[in-house]
Amino acid sequence: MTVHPATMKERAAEALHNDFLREAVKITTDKFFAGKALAQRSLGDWEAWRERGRAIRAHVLAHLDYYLGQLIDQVKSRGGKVHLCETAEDAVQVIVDIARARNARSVIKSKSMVTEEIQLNKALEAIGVRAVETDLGEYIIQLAHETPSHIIAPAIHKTKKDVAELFSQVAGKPIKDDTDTLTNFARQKLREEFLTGDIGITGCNFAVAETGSVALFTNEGNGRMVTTLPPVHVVVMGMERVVPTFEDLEVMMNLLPRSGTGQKLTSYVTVITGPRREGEVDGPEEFHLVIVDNGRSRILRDPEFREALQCIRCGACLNVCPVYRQIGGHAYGWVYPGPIGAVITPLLTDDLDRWGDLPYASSLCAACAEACPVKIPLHDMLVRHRVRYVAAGKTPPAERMAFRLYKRAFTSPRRYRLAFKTAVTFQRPLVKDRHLSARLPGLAGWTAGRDFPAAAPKRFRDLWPGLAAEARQMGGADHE
Amino acid sequence: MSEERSFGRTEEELRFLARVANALGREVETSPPEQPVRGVRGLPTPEAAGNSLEQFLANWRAVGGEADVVRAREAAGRVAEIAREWGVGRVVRWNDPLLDELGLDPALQAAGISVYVWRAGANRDEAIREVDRADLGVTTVYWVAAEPGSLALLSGGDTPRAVSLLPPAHLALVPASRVVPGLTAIMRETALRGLSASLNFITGPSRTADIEMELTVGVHGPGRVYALLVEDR
Ligand code: SF4
Repeated sequence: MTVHPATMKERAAEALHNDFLREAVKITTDKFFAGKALAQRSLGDWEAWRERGRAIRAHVLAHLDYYLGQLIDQVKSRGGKVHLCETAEDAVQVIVDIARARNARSVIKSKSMVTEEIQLNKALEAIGVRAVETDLGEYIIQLAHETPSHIIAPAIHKTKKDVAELFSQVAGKPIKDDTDTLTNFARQKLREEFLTGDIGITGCNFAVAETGSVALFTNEGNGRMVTTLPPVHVVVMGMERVVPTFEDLEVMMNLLPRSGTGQKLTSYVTVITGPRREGEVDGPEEFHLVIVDNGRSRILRDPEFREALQCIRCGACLNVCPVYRQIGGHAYGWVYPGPIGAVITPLLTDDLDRWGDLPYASSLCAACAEACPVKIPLHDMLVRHRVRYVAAGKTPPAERMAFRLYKRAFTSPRRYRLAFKTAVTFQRPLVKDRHLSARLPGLAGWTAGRDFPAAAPKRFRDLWPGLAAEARQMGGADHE
Repeated sequence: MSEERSFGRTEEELRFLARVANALGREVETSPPEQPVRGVRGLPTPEAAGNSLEQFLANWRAVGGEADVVRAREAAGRVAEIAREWGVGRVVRWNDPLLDELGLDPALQAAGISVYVWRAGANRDEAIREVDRADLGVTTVYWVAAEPGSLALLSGGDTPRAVSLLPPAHLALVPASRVVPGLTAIMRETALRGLSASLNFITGPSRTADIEMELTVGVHGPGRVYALLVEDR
């Protein structure tokens, strides 16, 4: 795996120097975003659908113990095995044991972020089991020893030439860098893996409590391969990904692809219910459901953040986030990028020292919350995080100092007026196009990456009487 | 569904569920909670308003699928034509009586195309080998949803998953009577009649945009998908 620099700031700086990455991220997210608008319209009252999505997910979280219990019963009654894992280590151990029991040599995987979260591949490799990522994007970044940069499009930071180089190494001969050739090469290579893989591992978009089913949304068909060919299927799911009934799954089928990629539906939605039945020749003979907590009950317990577990991992909040669009997924440093990553990473890891600066990777413009199909108040949560970070005394000293000064200035009208006058006078040599671009002491962290708006020549307060009169003349509402 | 819920809970399960309940600030719930809203009830579901068949064709073609409508007696001949056009030498198909009734095998064989019928309890290695080297997989469907334009396939001994997945092309014969306006009917029906081990909704060809966002079809599953709707039987 690539080692990313330790702080958000360093990772972002690295990303900002990668022009291809910035361009690729923009093109990808623009495409998804444009598609989303179109697909949303096909649904009619989008707001009503979002509210339904939110209500179903919130209801599940409020009764998660019941629905998990029901899910467990249903999976067992259909011949599946359920494994309940409190920690990442527990989950890894369960899967390692399954691999050992089957004498597995290779495991074929369809995109699963939870397995990234618990670092499964490393553990499998440590016992001599090859873990093969089969989603094309994941396959590419696995060959490059990197991590995904987008929830839905994990390899958007790679050029065709990069991919051709990687594939040429695998092939031992040059592979042309056009998309069809590359895709074809991957198809052949991975087909061998599908046919010989001992265990198939998938994530889980949704588990249906009433039927014990697991639903997978895919476009390439690798999710279907992984659940069709190997004799064992292991599903690794975060414990919150439950919907109560089959009918509720229909709501998610309408929300998830539209929000993520702008499709009405992904090419495949595969609903798996237990191992293969009497007479079936393909499909797994063993079905395992690994339910992972790994910090989720901590989020569930926390009223300020519980709603974050409503997430259906559609990626819409990434696509609209101006910060994500500039720096891409790697700058977030862990498994989950973008606004949702900035919210859940510090919570799942329970490590403020390492991840407490993530919630600062946001302009708090609220585009994320508006895009979210299950209405998670992402930007509010980013603020709540910052409050906790500050309360824990983790802010850099210069920033604390700056805010103390602001507080002093803003809580006294006299000091405020004085500060304002001083600012207007002293900024003059530094102002360019109404922005302060020079490095000001105490503001350097801000102005190094962007321009700070200069204090306006006249205060809004001073302008107000005139503006109000104008508004009245124009017949506008009177706000005085 | 099941109301008595405490039977046969393992220690591990009790502990895990208790932790979750504890995070919610209460004891473990044992009776089903009242759902304030359920599924798409009361929502304007996307469903074909007019002719479902027409709408399915439009949606299916919009995502890159191919389609046509034929009479039952023309169906087998049409499949043979399409197969020839696509350069198909080997077909693997489901063991659905409908395909026998339509006379599929003789029509294909007359065109010099070999047919392997995957039956319940087939030899696994042989069946997988056949399907892996087939140029075309032929199936029927359980339902078709006009909106969003999807085929719904259920797995079973005679209706294996691999046939619509491994060959580079998939053709589904669809009795026109199985076209429904939207997903809702299918969701209710499947949950009611008890689920197969695998239910697949197929909406167009296998696709990826993972390399520089260029759309490519056929990355793992079929790159060509054909829905042949069969009117009157
Ligand atoms: S937080 Fe919302 S928008 Fe972001 S990935 Fe999750 S569901 Fe999608």
